[in-house]
Amino acid sequence: MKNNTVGEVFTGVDGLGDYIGSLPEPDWMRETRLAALERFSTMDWPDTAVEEWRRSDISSYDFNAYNMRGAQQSAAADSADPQAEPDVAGRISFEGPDAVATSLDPDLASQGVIFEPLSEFVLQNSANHGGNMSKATRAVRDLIMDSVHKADNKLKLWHYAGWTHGVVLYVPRFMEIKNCFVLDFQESGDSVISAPQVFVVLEEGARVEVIQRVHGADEGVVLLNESVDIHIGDGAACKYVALHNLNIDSSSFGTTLARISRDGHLHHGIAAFGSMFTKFRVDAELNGPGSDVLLDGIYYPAEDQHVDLRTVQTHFAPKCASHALYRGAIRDEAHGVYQGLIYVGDEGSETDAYLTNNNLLLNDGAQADSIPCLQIHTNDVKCSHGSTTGKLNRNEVFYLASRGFSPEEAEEILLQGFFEPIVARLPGALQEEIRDLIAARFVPVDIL
Amino acid sequence: MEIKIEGLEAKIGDTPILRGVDLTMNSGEVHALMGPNGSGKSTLSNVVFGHPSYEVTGGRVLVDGEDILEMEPHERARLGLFLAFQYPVEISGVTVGRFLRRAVEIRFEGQKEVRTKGFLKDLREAMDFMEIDQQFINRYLNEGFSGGEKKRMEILQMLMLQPQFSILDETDSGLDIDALAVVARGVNKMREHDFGALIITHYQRILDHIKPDFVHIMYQGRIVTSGGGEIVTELEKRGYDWVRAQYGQEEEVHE
Repeated sequence: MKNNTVGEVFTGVDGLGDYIGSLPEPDWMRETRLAALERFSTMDWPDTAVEEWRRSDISSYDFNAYNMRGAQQSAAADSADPQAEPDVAGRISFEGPDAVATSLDPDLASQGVIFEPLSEFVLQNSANHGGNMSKATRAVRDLIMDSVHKADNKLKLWHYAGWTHGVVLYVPRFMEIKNCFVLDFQESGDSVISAPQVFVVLEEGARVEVIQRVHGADEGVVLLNESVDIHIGDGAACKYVALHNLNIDSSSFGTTLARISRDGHLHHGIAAFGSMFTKFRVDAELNGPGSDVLLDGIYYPAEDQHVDLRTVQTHFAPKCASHALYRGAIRDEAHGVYQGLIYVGDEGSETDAYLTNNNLLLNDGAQADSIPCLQIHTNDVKCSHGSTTGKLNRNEVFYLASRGFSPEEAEEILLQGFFEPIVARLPGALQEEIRDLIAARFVPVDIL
Repeated sequence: MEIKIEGLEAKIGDTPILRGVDLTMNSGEVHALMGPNGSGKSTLSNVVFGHPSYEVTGGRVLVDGEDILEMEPHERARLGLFLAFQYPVEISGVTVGRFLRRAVEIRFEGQKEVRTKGFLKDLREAMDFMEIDQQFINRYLNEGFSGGEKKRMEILQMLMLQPQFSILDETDSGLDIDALAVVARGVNKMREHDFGALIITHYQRILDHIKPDFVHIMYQGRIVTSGGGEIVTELEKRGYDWVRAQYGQEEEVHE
């Protein structure tokens, strides 16, 4: 496989049209980019007059000062040895926009599972997929157009016009895959835009688990603007957990939109540790009766990090359940924002929905905003929200101290315990990693 | 182990609670501390363990001759002291098994190796003894436990940590007669070794199960009388009004 782009660099905003023109993509994909670009051009960047952006001011960003380039088709693809990782169904690793290693269990490939870098998928230059390609292509195209159509801010449209790289995971009907799929995004460089796009398409009855890691070099400034589109067919189930840990000079923007069909199930998780500035939004659309959703979130900003997370549980069908649990510990001068919305349309009878947000302020100067909201347009629903913001409990530290635990250890145990109900239900491969990140951030405050 | 409390005075905010407590106890002895509500019994246990809400304004607490009032709470615990709380807190996200494994490690640091197998075996035995379901090993400590389950969990911890001296702060309150018997069984098992306890209680019934060597009556922040089991009988017959009448002091008039 030859390199078929030269890795030309474009400025983030002014160069967007030229960037799209330079990509060797088929018309159907170019049309989606141009549709996004057209809406992008008519919109202003979100400002603090909009409620969703009120606490996250991006007016100081000069997005044109960042550069981007498309993925290079790399000979490194299929380099990873699938036998080397017994618990992994497939792995794709990126360095910047370039896929440097991909693997997929050959048994799964032979059964019609597609798991490959998006640029390759788009070019349809991979092996034959037993007739699934056209179905998968259609699904991907529909997801993009749905997202472009629904996008209510310029950053999201910017992403769909100018995405740089990504992944497609397509799972045929009734394929239950026990091992997980792993997406590794390694970012580096200065003033670099990274705009990865992930598609997860599950046909009826399919089940998968996906782990996404976004991490980067210690130095450098990356502007991440990612998007994840998930389609969960009737009775299908998806667990998708993302760990974000870019360096402290970087910024992270992202949206996830999951559409869940009848009796489908989504467990989404996000752990936000990195970046000076983070603004993520997770949308779960419950479109079919009996579907259910669990949204988990962990954040632990320190120094002067700003983390703003929003969840939206949209009930468009009856007899659906959705739960969101977001927990944040906030240290130093950091600022955590959580906004949660439960929306129940008039078709959403017998909805069971709640959202919970708990914040721990670890010192004076740390700040948490918790904004839960319910919009309910039908009767016969069970919806509630709960939000707490407090400090480490002195009586709990005293209790542990009375059992011989030093105050430092007691505080760390309580902090880990604060996150543990969420961590314990994330994929096993991520649990220790997240506990280690929490431990690495811990500083005793000595409240006894 | 000898615990010698001398002229202990403490306050919470501006309110004096302990007004000169004198009490000497040794491991090998079980003391009961009784008295009406508000007499300062729970404050005494909290002050001995160094709860930060209380300020000590006078006196000493000597453990084998060493004043522990300057020590941090965990340092006091590491001497071999244990407090069974009246209201044990819920520790979310920390399983009983993980918590106890670490607590046992700390308790016996440098004394004996805590082997994974040995620990679990000990824990399972102790849980059987305390009639606690094994599934509690994987539950978060005290979270969602009933009042009685929390009290039994306190005694389970005591059995695992093998302290030399325990203060049991109203461990009997809120227990039905069966649960009370189980709790008492745990305490009596400790007495097979060199172990002492101060049992703080409002009622006499736990003392039917755990025979105290000494009984002290606390009122208005002082130990007003001490003796043997006959005091319990006296209290049962005459109630606390007798204590108030005999030992009550006029409240000081504050300007």
